Amino acid sequence: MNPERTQPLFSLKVPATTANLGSGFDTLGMALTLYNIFSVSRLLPEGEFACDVSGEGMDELQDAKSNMVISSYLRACREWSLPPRGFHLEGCNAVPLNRGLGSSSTAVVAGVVLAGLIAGKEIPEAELLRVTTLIEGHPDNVVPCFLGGMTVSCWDGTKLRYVKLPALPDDLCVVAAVPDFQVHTEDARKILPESVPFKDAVFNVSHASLLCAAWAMGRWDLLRVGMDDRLHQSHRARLFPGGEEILTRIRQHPDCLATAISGSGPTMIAIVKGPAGQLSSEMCRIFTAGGVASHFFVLNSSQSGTVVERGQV
Amino acid sequence: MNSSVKRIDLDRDCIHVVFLGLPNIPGGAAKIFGALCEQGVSVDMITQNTMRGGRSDLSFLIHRDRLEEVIPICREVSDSVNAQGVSFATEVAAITVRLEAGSAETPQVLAKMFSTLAGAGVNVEIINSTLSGSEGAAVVCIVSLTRAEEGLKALREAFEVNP
Repeated sequence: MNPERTQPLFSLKVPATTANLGSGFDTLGMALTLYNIFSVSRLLPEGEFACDVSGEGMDELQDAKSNMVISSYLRACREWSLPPRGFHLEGCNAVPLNRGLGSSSTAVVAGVVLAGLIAGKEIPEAELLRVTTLIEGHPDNVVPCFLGGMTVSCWDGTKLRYVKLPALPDDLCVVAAVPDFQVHTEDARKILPESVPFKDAVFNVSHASLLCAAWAMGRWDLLRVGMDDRLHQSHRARLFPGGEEILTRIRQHPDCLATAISGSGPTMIAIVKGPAGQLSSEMCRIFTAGGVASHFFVLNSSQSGTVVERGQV
Repeated sequence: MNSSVKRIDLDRDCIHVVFLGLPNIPGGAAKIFGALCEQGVSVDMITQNTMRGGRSDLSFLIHRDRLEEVIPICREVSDSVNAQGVSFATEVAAITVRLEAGSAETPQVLAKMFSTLAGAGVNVEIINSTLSGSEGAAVVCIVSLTRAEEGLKALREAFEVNP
């Protein structure tokens, strides 16, 4: 305990997300009960920034010039013609970095939300999400990260439409098995084909539609089929040891409702009904067999999304 | 020097639990270990790291047999203590090096132990030690299962200890 520590001006609790869910490439995403905390300890003159990062990425993210919370804040200030007041940022990161659990989206959402908070300007939800999507390039992490829950997003490069689906029931949980392995974004993009056969496009449209309808109606028995995909998973699962085996083997487990690559990997998720320990351990054993260390989280869907606490300004 | 090392063992039955970003206010550890105690769950190697930003990570080991009970307890307590999350590592093992009681060579053994593990490419995730006592000193290293056998073999060769 540090009695000297003063209350931050603003503190943001921002959830991890799992996106690209099966058939819902660039469309479906869910906020998870694993959080990064970003706090503004004091304001600084315009253009002056400092940051202190602990936990995940503490070696890579200390430089204020390249910190994504600060760059997103500056971008949002430009979008909304707000004065870019400087600040001292403290980040306590628990979301694994570059593992497909939306760590960069937590930074983008935090930066954009801070732009409005520091300027004292109320930004409408839809506009805030438009700017976060513009920065991130796709909506399926930033939208659930801000709103919470499971969301369906549609982005045409200019306009964003989104719907928040009902919450995952309490008796279901999300296992996220995180290998100690990084998939480079460039490799994850390059491995996807330029075009897909018409029948595969139809396959994904029908399965993504089924997945959304099943989620909306609570037909959890249909998740496994609804998450089947022919656009990205079979390609990306080859980029890291254990990916293909987890997709095919873990989904046969009686307690497993569905499996998917989280984001562009290498984290793998399973939606589970019942005790999660045995299934989670099996996912990690598959990573070990591939020579990669790993750990896992057993999570719920975070319904609150990004939560802001204000201190004494 | 090698005669002071009595035994080197590998235990694959441990699981590493980490509460991430526990707020540095009184009561967090009490809630966690109180809830585990209520279910009769024993823990070992409790470690709390110093972090900035008013939060720290708290980790401990449990026996593999208790995982299914411990997961829901930890998830519930994580919410109630406002931690940032809780992670579980099942693919770990504990390598224990035991020394003769009263050995004066502990610093040399430690130096050789860690340089041997490093030479075998084994990253140590947690270190715990009992360097005094009538039973002799013991040093426990938690390592990934992916490298545990290599670490055990390298240590047994370095200290000329038979299984």
